[in-house]
Amino acid sequence: MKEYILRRLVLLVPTVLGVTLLVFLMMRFIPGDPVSLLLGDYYTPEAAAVIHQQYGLDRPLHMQYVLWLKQVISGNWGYSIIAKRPILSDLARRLPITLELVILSMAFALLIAIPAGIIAALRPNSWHDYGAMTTAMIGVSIPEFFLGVLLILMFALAWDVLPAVGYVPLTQSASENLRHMVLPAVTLGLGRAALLTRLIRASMMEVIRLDYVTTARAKGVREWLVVLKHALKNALIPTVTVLGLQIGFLIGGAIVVESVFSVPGVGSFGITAIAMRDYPQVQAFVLLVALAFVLMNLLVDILYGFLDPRIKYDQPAS
Amino acid sequence: MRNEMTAVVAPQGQVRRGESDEVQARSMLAVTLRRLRRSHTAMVGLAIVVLLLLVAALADVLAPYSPTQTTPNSMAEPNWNHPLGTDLLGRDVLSRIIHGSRISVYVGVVATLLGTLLGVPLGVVAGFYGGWIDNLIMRLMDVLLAFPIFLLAIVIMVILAPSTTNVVLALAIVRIPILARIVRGSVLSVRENEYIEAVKALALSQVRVLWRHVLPNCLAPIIVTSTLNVGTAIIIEASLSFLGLGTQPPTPTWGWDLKQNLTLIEIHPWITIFPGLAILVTVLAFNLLGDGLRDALDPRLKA
Repeated sequence: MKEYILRRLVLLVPTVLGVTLLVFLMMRFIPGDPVSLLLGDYYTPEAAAVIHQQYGLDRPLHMQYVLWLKQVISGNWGYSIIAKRPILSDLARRLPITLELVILSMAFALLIAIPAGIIAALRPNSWHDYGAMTTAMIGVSIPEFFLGVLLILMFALAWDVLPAVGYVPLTQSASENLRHMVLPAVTLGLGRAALLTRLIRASMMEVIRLDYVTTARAKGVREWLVVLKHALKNALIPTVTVLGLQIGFLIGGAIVVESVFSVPGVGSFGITAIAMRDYPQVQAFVLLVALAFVLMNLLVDILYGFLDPRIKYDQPAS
Repeated sequence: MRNEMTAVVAPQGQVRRGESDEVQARSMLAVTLRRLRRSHTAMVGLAIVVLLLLVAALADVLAPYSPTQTTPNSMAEPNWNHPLGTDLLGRDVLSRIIHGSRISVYVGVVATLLGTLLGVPLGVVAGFYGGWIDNLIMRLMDVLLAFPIFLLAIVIMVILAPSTTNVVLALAIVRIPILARIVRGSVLSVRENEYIEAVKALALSQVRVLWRHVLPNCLAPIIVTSTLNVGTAIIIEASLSFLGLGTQPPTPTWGWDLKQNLTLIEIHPWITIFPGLAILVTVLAFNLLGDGLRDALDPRLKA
């Protein structure tokens, strides 16, 4: 198991380097002079000279990349043109908010998908099954921003039970924080729940038919134990393999959802930066989200290693 | 399928490879269509897709008003003159939704086709030749896949200016790595086939081997993912438009139409609901069709 984790960590290095290289090149691809892109309206010859020296713009491209990478590693993620302050502090402040949104959404998605998928699998072609599958079908077809708007219409405007926009920090009031996070988390989570329900149903239906489940039942093991302990564990393995892709959709969806509900997270930070043409902020935003995605994929890979014993025992003898 | 092939070969007692390939292809198509017809949901999806294509093609004829014509009759509730009401600038919502279908269909279909045209050769080359070519292509694909799809689309739109053409490009680029992976997988599973070794030994040109024998094996997953991808592409296009990064106004597009009247949602919710419903129904149709195709093309199911 340790070798598996180590191998994954080692493979992480070229991926991270590739991501940083692409983000670096992305800024170079934006049409326009890099100096004016970095300075915007605050262009002065003196500032231009500073930028020139800091980013080594007269040096060859690969040297510029190395310089930029060194700055990123040392914690200098650039200066915001508009806000005129280091970007990293803004990002560090907003990251926990987005993380809270993503975690709540995923928790909600699993809370819905696992029971719904199991019930649909155990009662195929019943109204439970059709109901779950129809809802799931609609769930994967609805864009997040429309679902968010519908939920705002229902819960904030029509029934006035939840706030439509805004955010209250956890430290200020946990209940208010949750009240403000419910609609965004449900919006983001329902799409994932829909897909996961279909997946879990499909893999449960396959696993239930296997011999070892029949054996467990014949042995007199109680049904709920058969389902939860014996069948579900194996049924979840294919689900975990697509979890990485789902997290990608979750992150992308968070950007849109933060925009709809005015959640002050990393996503709305990025969209504002793009609208204001604050390219240092845009670059930092892209870098952070991409690296976060790589890290989450790594965690999912490790989780997969724990779930699937074939990985554990498949180690080559050293 | 094997039975049909044997039936072709056995009576004459000769092996006519070219002929059996064609017969196999024809019968595969027939079997697929027959299975597809049996699925009610897939047929509903197909019907809606055909309807959508007709609406997009005949938008100029079907729309009662011009989608960009502003009038003083702003924020009108749905009535006989304007079945879906009017927006802030007095433009007819129904006409905008009908014309908006053009952007969605264009972006969805063209981006998917373009991505397929670029991704399939990459996957085929990587899978067929292997070695350092395979490594190089797959590492490049991995770097692209290290970005969440929507983020990658946003990045490309930041580099290229927001416009419909660039949205198509962005969505095509985003699709390439996934498709290359799928196709490479299919190619790998066929490459080791002795049939391929035999055909190669007959000194047929490599391109011919790829075209006649390797590619048909990949066709099923390509068709299924392409159909499903049109739906995904439409959602991403709508999301980009919602964020102001897609097709620019005044061209009607469902995503932007939903956004621009959002501030008035308390008094006039229908302007946000109708474009959203249009997106939902369209994507649902493609998903139903894609699901049906997946089941129809599944070799494990009996005919």
